[in-house]
Amino acid sequence: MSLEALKHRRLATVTATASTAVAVLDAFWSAVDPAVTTYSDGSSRAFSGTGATGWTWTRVQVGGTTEALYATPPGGTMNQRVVIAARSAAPAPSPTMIAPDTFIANGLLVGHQLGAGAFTTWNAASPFTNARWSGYTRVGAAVTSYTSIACCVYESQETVWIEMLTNGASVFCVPVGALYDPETVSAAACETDGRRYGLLTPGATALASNFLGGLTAGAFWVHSTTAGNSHGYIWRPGVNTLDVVARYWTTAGSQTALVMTNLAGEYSGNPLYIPATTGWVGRVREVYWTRPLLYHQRVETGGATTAYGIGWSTTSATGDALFLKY
Amino acid sequence: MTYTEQIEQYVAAYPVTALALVPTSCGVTSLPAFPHVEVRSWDDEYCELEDAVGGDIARFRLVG
Repeated sequence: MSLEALKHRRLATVTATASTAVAVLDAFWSAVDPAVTTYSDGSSRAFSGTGATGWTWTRVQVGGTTEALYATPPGGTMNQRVVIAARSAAPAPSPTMIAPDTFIANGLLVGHQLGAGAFTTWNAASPFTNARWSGYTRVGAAVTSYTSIACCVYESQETVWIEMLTNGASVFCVPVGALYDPETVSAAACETDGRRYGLLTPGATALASNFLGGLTAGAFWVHSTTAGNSHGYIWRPGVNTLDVVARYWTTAGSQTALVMTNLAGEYSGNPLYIPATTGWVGRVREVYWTRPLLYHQRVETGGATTAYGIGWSTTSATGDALFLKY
Repeated sequence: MTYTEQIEQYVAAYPVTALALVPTSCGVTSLPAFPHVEVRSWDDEYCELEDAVGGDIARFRLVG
């Protein structure tokens, strides 16, 4: 039996006031601040209760300077946390990275925790006291290399999607959390809550037009063994081990809106199934491969939002796209 | 990639590495491509590289 259906909500997009690590983190903070009680469509952002999608974010400042944000989900039993961090130079101790990535000054870092205890600090070996800290992976190049950075976050009950639009043209996105439904309750194949957790990054290269077909950079659900390229990590159930994704399917990237729309004008919603190198994982929860969409395109049916598009371009509705079910 | 290859990739990125502290559970005791780098096991779950004077260079988690 499938898990609870995720519903995705998009927070307002905030453009960083400068191309610095601090300004980018503060822009994300403006977007996710718990004082923000509505989503970009005006719907309520609830932080607790059945079906709540609002994650509670905390800003981490060191000597008055923002160095990280971490997020606590509205529910769940696995005590997961998501951290985004950036700093103009490596701190001491140096943050733990996930192989093969290396720390990059002014680069955005994203990490995930299961079984969190008390927060210590973002660059500690165990930022949340306990084991099952993923370490950090990179998204994008140094933010100082961009002329503009628009920051956005999508939240669902159990996942977040962290997104940057750089120079008004290039899309970076990192999905994190309980992304997978293993469609089984066998203990060896899922966490104690029946889910599989992980995170993805396109790496230092923005999403490519064929981001569901690419194998190296600017792609989703692939793992390159080169630092700064695309990576995908999935927690092995019950243990402190990260496995890597092994997408066995590809898209051609040449599908048109016409062939991805049915004769009634409805967009296709192809479910996605993902394995890791160590075995089958499951279905990506309420995320579908669909017709070409633009960055931030909202899909409506009869005036009601049904999905948010994850597109690679602001101007070209071609190539690969995902929709996050509303 | 094997654990040894992952560690060697980091050592290659940080050529001043003199010591690699690695999780006992990974089973790596030497780095064939970098015989000058000492490898020590410890109980932590991450790897740490240090230079010749004991300064921390990098920390990372092995995958797979």
